Amino acid sequence: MNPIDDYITLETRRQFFQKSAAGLGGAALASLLGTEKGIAANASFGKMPYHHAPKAKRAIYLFMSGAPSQIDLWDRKPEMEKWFDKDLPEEVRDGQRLTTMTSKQARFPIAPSIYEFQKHGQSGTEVSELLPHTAKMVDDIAVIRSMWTEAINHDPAITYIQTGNQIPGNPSLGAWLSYGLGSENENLPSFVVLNSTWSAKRDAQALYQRLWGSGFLPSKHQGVALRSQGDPVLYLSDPKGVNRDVRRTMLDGLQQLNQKHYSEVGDPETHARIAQYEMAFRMQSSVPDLTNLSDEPKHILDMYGPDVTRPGTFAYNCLLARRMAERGVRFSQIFHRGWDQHGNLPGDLPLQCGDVDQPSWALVQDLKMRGMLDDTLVVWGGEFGRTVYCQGRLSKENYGRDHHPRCFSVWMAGAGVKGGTVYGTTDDFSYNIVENPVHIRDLNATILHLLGINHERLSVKHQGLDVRLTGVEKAHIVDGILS
Amino acid sequence: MNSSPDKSEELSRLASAMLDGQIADADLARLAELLRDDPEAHTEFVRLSELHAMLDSEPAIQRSLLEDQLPENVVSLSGSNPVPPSQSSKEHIPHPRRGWKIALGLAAVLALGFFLSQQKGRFSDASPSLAQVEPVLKSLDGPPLDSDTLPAETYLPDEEKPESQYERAILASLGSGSQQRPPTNFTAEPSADREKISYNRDIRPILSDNCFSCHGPDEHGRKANLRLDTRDGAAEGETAAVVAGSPDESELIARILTTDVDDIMPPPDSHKKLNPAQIDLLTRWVTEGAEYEDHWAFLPIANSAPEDLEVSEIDYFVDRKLDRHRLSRSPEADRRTLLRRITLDLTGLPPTPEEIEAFLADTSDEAYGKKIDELLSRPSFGEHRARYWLDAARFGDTHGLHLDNYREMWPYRDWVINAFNENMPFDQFTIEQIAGDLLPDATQSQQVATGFNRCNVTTSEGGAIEEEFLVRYAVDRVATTGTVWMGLTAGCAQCHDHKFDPMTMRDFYSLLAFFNNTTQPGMDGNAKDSPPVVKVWNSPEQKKKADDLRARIAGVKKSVAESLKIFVPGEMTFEEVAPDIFDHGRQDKASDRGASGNFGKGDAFSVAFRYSLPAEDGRLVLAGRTDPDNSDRGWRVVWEDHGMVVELIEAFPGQMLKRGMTRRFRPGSSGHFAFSYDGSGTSDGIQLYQNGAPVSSRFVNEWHDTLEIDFATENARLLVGGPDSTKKLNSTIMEFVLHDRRLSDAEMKAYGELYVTRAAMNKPLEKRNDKEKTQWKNFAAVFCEGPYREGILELAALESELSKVESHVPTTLVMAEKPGEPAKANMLERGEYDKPGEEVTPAFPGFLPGLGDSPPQNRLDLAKWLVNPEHPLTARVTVNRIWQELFGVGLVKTAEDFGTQGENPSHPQLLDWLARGFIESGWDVKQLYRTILLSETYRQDSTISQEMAKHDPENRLLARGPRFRLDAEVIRDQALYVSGLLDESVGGPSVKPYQPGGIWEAVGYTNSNTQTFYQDFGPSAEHRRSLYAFWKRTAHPPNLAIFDAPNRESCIMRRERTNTPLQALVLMNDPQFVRTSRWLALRIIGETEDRDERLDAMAELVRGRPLDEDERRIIVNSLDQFQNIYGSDQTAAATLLVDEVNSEFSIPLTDPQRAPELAAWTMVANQMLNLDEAINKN
Repeated sequence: MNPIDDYITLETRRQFFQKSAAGLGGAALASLLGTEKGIAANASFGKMPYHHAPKAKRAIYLFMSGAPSQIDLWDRKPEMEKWFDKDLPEEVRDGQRLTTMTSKQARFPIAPSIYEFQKHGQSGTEVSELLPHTAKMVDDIAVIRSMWTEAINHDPAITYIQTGNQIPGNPSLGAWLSYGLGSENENLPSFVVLNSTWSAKRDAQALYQRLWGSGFLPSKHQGVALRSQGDPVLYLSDPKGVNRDVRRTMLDGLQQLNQKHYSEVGDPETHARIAQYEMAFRMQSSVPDLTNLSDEPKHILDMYGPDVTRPGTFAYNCLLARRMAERGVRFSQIFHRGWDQHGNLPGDLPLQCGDVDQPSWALVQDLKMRGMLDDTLVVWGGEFGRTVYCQGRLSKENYGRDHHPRCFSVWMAGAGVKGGTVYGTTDDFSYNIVENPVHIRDLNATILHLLGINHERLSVKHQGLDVRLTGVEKAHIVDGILS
Repeated sequence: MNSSPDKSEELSRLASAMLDGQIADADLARLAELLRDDPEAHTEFVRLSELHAMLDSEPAIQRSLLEDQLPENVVSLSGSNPVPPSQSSKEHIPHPRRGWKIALGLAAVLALGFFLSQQKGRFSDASPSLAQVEPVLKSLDGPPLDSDTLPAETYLPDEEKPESQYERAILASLGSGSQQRPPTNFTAEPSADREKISYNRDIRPILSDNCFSCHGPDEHGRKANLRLDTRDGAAEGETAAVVAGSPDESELIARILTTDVDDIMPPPDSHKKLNPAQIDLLTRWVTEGAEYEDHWAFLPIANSAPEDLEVSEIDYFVDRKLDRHRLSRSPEADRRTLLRRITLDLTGLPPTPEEIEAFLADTSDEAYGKKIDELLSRPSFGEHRARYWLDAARFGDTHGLHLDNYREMWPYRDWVINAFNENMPFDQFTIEQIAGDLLPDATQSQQVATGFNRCNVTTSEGGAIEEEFLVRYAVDRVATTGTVWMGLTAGCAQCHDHKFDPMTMRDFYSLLAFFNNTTQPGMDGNAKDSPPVVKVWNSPEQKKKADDLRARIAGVKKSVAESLKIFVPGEMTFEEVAPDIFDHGRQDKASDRGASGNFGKGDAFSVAFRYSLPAEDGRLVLAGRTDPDNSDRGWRVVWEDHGMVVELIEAFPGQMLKRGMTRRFRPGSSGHFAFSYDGSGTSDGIQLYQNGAPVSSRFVNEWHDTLEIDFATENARLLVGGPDSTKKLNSTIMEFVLHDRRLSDAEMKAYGELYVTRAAMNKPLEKRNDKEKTQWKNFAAVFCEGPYREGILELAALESELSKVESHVPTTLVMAEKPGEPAKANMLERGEYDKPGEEVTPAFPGFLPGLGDSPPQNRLDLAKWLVNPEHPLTARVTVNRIWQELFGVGLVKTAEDFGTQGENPSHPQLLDWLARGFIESGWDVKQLYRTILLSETYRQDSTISQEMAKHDPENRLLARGPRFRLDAEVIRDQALYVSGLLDESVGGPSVKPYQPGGIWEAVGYTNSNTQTFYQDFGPSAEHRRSLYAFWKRTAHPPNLAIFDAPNRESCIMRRERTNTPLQALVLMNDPQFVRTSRWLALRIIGETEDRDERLDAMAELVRGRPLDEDERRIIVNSLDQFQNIYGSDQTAAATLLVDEVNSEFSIPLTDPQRAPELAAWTMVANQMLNLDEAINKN
């Protein structure tokens, strides 16, 4: 019998024991299964019961690290032109705590966006001139202008939106999804992370492996960061001088030895290990296949723009994300750094938009052309917003913006999302939310919801608590953007 | 699968419906039919169920499944009649059979669970009588459900096979208590009176899981003013929910039985449900009088070992438990396995073949004990123990947040290693780490120990609010101390009274007060030595010398200031005074200043110049003397990444000292830059000056001193200014000077002001203002012979000497109290730093025994309290953690949580006996290891029968010896060790062995000094034990991370142990592991020519025993194939022998003919190092 099938049968049994959530049911089921033999194994990858019918089978999260300026991209505030260099009214700020970068500033002069906005599509969604490609697809996307968070600095804020807690230690969104939904593809990880190069100034906020870490979940759920230099997956390549025959020979012998050891010692983990070696062997071909773009036609490559063939660019990563979606990767997350425009925003923001605008658009189009947008969720956004008032020197042409947690903009597209939607309203200063606030935990709850998961029921007992991605405060699904 | 897609889809739909509890009767029948007819459908269904269980653990199913798997129940189910017979349990449980019956049964029990739990209406139509839903499986440890008619022995027929016994026993021992536990949750030993319900064992887990979050200790979140965690709250007063003895009158029971969705408890939106067995337990408990007990872990430690035992106490307690399950221990493991087990457990390294031989030869009774003592005395013992402790201490080499810069902390690690090796009693170990600084006349070592509480992550993010982070640090310290010493999840009480444990918010902030009196700033300044720190002197003499020098420097400074006052500049021109300086204009070529400036590691020297940078961005060498033919050996000043960087290079990149500033020097800017080097051989010895003033290097780009030998070179020219070879950039360098000594600050200032002084001097005397006059006076004083100049030269020399004395003196982060201020804290509303409430003073949690009458003052009192023999937690938590190291799972599985939400101990009396013994031994750590290792329980064979694997995968009953995968560090260390490469030197700074490129860069903040990974080269870095690997917390070493090494951002008491394909890739392909394969092969080949002897020797090295015939046949087969492949491809063979990381470790090949042999054996070694047996402890 096929040892892999044998393993998976065993593995299933084993997992019953190990999943704390499976509990006694697991034990009982396993005892029922104890003497089962010869069951065909890899039949049901990708089939599972959800909490409810999922709209999305997978998700792609385009994360703009550093916090893009909502005022210059999505949240048009024409009134502000009259307010140039005037102080932000005290009542608007309303005691809001500030970062220590501007809390000592003598004035809070308003810096209107210098960018033109136009209405686009049938929905008439207003989009900045900095995002001309994204503007073409507004009828496919839902823009939330009323996102908010409590965190005012990058490290806590990005940790918060990715893990549901400002303090390190909790599982990331992707890890929760991997834990909850498992894998659709046995040759690739279920959660993949792609880090991108960026064009604005070199000084960019850090990322942390905790942002795709597994926290207190088993570490197999942590995101696998695909790399743009060297092996796409760490240690994937055989050493120089070891060809496939040599590796196969080594593995065949290893498998026999481990099998023999299993028969003597009887530890099911040994069987699991045999299977993991086989999967590693398969990954050695499936991953290069994933990153080999030679089968992509020119018109597809052109759609993503000229950077698409340069590994590590946002365009390249978007194309990879589509290829992974096709191969059943549950969740891929592309990080793009460099959005922290404290100063020289007009110098840097266009460069950043230049990196992501066309590829984001192309990704959605590409999915759509393949009929995959119907069951793929795409999310675009950062960790907080930016202030309407200027940080540093203000001129007609140049300004900078500090961190702003009270409102920012995010867009979503694809499975279950109502295209052409604009959700939530902010005041004239893009400072406070006037209507339909969406906390970051609401966003996460909505993402889980679209993937068929009830965020209140996806929990793991840790340190005596039922810990959830969305935390202890009540989170709400953003029904207004759902189709 | 072969089933049709339609069928598969139907199955999926039905299963989903059923698992969500929304299945119609007809569909249920159809589902049962599907499962009955198609074994593959059955398999798929199981998988669906499993995944569902992952998503959502429905309590009811869990319990019902266990209880209702009996065939009688199964038969009774016809889809629409889910009611089980109630008197079916007198039969013994048969061994499960395969086939359709199981499939049906499975569907049935799952369905049953749902009907019981979710469709209560069906029952309530008739009556909520418990008889109908009475669980049928009687738990051996738990209370018999109907003991009059069903004595335990009734269903244990004598002819039962051992496997069945085992299986049944395990099943029986599961399940009492909290339903969401993993399957191996063992309850407390049953009380003498086996009939009686125990609150701790049976009731508290149910209440804790389902009720306490609204009706528990937290008075703020408490609903309906009802408290169920105390008898007073539940059974007294007007809101009493429990009427002892009368379940019918108890609101508690009524509310869990009702079908009214508005009244039912737990409320539906909690997603919690009680199952029939739990309801029964609660009812019986009320009937029996609703007696409460204190939580076991908070009760005094018992000492209940009987005297005159024939076996060790450990074995006695284990046997008692096994007896109860009619099981017995496994035989002792063979001697080879035992030796490997104890050697790995005590040192983290395997035994050598020589040690194996000696051990096998010593057949005396004392051999085993003697070997343990010998292993306990090795330095590797302390290293191995420290590795576990550093997980708990959250030790890392970087700050962890935002920039994640380097933090100099390794002396604390050395302290931990030494403490274990010296067998420091655990009470002292505790006191020194928590409060070493507060001990009278605290020694340097005692201060270093307090680094434990400085290991937490810190930040200096621009914009961060200081007060907020100071609160976070203190919270982390309370949480970590709570977890490590007491197994308490104290952090929960930051925002509200603990939901499950009696820890109140006041308790929490009273503990926080102990840590709230620190001198530490909220922002760490991104510095490696964020205060408070101590210098770690090698010797008292070294410290005294430094103190003396500092005193002399202070004296000279004073006299220098005096002599400047009386200095009068004569009638001299600028040119007469100023030294020789050199100007280099902007041109395409550097000015060649000849061969001068050849300085080396031990030479002090200084360079100063005025610069004007190019208008374009780029990297540019401004001045230097390097040898391009010899890895740029020499020294230079470089402008790169907008930073000014001094490099003293032995071999570029990597082996050099580097110090610089960043974000200061924009394209097109100009200014004056200088540096002096003191000849100390460390980057600390490089002092930078900007515009004449000393500047702290904002970022030390290269934090680690990797200079191994020297940077002097004859073959280089001193070049000033000039283009970068690639970008055609050029700069203007003026006023360039070079000195073969360290310049004084006064001289540097004078050079920095050359430009303005010269301009002033060009004015006629009468037009100079006072400022310009003073400037000239100061300038001339520096350069004219006289007492002032003598003074500043002496000063420079003394400072240089001090700098040398202090070089290589590391700092380490410590705790320090604000002098004279009493420790206190404010309770924070909802835990938020900007909502301070009532002030509290240090105090111990009220639910634990105190310490004397006077109120505690500081951390020292806290530490003494923790190790007070009456403290119920410290010793229990500690012995449990050590047990976990040795057996893979603690006696309390939740090693980090001894509270009511944690698991009960599997062997509570054993735990207490160990804890009491530990205290009475004077907290003797080595003795504790010795005691456990000497037990027969530990020495058991670890072979796992199929039944054991199924029912006790984690070996909680201890019917076999420990077997589990080695930790990340041990796997790597073992590979280095058996290949003969391991550098066994103990202690010192962290090292950076190879890792694939781009890992730090992908995540690092661009201005972090750990943004770029520079590998350290050479055996002293590449082959050190993994304990010394540099731990960048936002990206820790990847080959260790893949084997579950935690990132150490927070306290970890228990590592995950996963099994993934990425691990296979590490062991097969990581250049570090490939290197060990090569060297293991070379080592073996050198020992003998005989193939079989070679194979045996290799196997013995790697896993402690030679090959048997079958194994030999398999490996020889592989070897033959490797030899065939490499015999016909010599190039591939030669390629495999080249080390791609460091050619120093390539296999030297004098005879190319031998390449295929070496390559083939390398692959055999690779195969062996990948063996399951090699990476497991057996």
